[in-house]
Amino acid sequence: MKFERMKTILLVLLVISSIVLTINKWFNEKLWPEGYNFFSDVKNFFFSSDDDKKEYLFDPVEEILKPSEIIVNNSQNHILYTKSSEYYQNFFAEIKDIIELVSSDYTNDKCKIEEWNNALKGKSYYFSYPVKYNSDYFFSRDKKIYKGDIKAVKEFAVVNDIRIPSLVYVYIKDAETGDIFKQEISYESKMLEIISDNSAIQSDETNYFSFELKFDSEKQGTVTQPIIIDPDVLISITPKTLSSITEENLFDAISENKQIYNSILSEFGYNTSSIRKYVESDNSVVFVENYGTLKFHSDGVLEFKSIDNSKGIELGGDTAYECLNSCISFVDAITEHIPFAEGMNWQLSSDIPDVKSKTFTLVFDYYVNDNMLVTPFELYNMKNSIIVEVVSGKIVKYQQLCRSYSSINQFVTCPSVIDAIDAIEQQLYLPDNIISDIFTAYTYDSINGIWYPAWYVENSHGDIASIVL
Amino acid sequence: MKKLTKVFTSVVLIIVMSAISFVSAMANGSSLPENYSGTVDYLIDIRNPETIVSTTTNRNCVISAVAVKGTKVTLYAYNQWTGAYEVLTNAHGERMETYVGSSGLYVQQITLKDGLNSIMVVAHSSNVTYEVVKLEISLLNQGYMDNVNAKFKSNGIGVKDIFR
Repeated sequence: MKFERMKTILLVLLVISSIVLTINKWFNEKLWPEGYNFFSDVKNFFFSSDDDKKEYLFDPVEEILKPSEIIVNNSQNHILYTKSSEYYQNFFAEIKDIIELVSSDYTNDKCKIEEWNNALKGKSYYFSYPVKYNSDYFFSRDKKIYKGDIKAVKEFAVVNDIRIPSLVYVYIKDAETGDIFKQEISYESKMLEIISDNSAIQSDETNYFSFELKFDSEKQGTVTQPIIIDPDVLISITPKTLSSITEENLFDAISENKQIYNSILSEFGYNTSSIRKYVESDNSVVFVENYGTLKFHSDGVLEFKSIDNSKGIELGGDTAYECLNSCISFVDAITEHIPFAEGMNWQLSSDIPDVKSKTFTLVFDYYVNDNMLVTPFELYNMKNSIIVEVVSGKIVKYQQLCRSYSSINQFVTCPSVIDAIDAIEQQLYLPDNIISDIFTAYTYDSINGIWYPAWYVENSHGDIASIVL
Repeated sequence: MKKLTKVFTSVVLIIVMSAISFVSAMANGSSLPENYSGTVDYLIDIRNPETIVSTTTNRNCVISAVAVKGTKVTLYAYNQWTGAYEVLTNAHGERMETYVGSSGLYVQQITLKDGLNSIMVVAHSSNVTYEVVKLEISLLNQGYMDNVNAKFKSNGIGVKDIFR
């Protein structure tokens, strides 16, 4: 009798354990390496919650709203601050507040270009971005909708009222129409005033805006002006010295960097324990899962492709605005796994269009010491360090150059802007003789494997080219 | 008589040496007479300052221009003690002399002294082809201007409105 009872208990335990294991197998995605997991989808449908969504510590809006250039103007000089400069964060903290105030209490008052120019010549603060932001994106905070007339933002200026310290004028140049909008806001900015005075004394740089030098348009005269420079381009009349950069290919010895690709795989939602993998003849490693392939090219390029546009990596976000932010957060999550050298960061290089659609392409570039690394064009037709294609809220294509860069003790002196412009092959790069921007960036020397600083020019079509001196 | 000859010889030597130095100075262009003028007017267009006579409160003044490619542009400032224009030099003692490149753009920053600054821009193409532009730039005292500005501002007028 006692033995019979023991047998029953054992049988019951066996039945329970088999049920538990079966449920576990049916509902756990890890045990379904191949094919479609119906039970997992059913479970997600009924039991998914917001807690399952990935939490990012990074604030994408804040990060991409950081201006690439902050120029402190006074009657003596124009001092350029970039992201790695001292005081940059102090400035940015105030800018955030100012943008907040402008977006919540906007006006549609316009002013003449002369007032904008006078603002930049006097005591003021000028902020510029490498790309155009649609105003809905730029001003939208906490799901507030911007209803002003400004269409796109790329640059704006802030001027303190001399008589009333708590009054600030914000001038915003519409990047689509060229109109200048002027807004008066109540804001006490002590920091800006103090830094403005100190920086002017300490700087060795000498910069002028093109409009101050009257190089921004053809004037009546006896000499024909061969090149026109857009009015707000900052022209440095002093040379600058920058260090060269060396790079390390993270996928060169991929077995040694197993931790990096395991981390990247899990960001893409790949199950590292059950994934199918094969190695190609050039030592590139390819991982295959249900909806796409992830390839670690042996020359340091990461590439994801979904099988078609309806599949891909779901970004989440109810609105197009949230989807865009999720995409930027995703890029940040991947980039987090690349060991960046000191002074290295990444920035958006494509304009932010109107945020009404969840289908878009974003491109980003790496920066070392605030100078862009211009990716060699021949590499997988990648013109930028990071390219993300999103269709209906899903990443369907992702390319990223996974290399680590660091400064070396080899310096190059870039001459003044005028000397650089003299060396431009005009017919080749400036079809209409207009320079939209001129800046220093890094160009890759494939023979020595070193990135050297050089002047780059942007023409009116948005194309950039290095100036060979 | 012998003493008189020595004095006379010394005076002649001093005159000759002075003449040689003056001629040398003129020959390498470090000093030019007040009435120096050009032979052509198609080599350079000054863009900043916008007018021949101008006023500023900024001690650092930028001279910008558009010039014919290959033109040598040299800056001079009038010296009231010698009555001649003397070549301007930078902080390293180098002449403010530049050859204009293919962009045709020219920029040079100069430091103004208080009061009137008479600047001469010489654009040189050859020994017989050169253009001269004379600029009168007055540097106003910033403290004085701030006072004026404050007074006018109380009446709703800015100094910029006056000089506009």
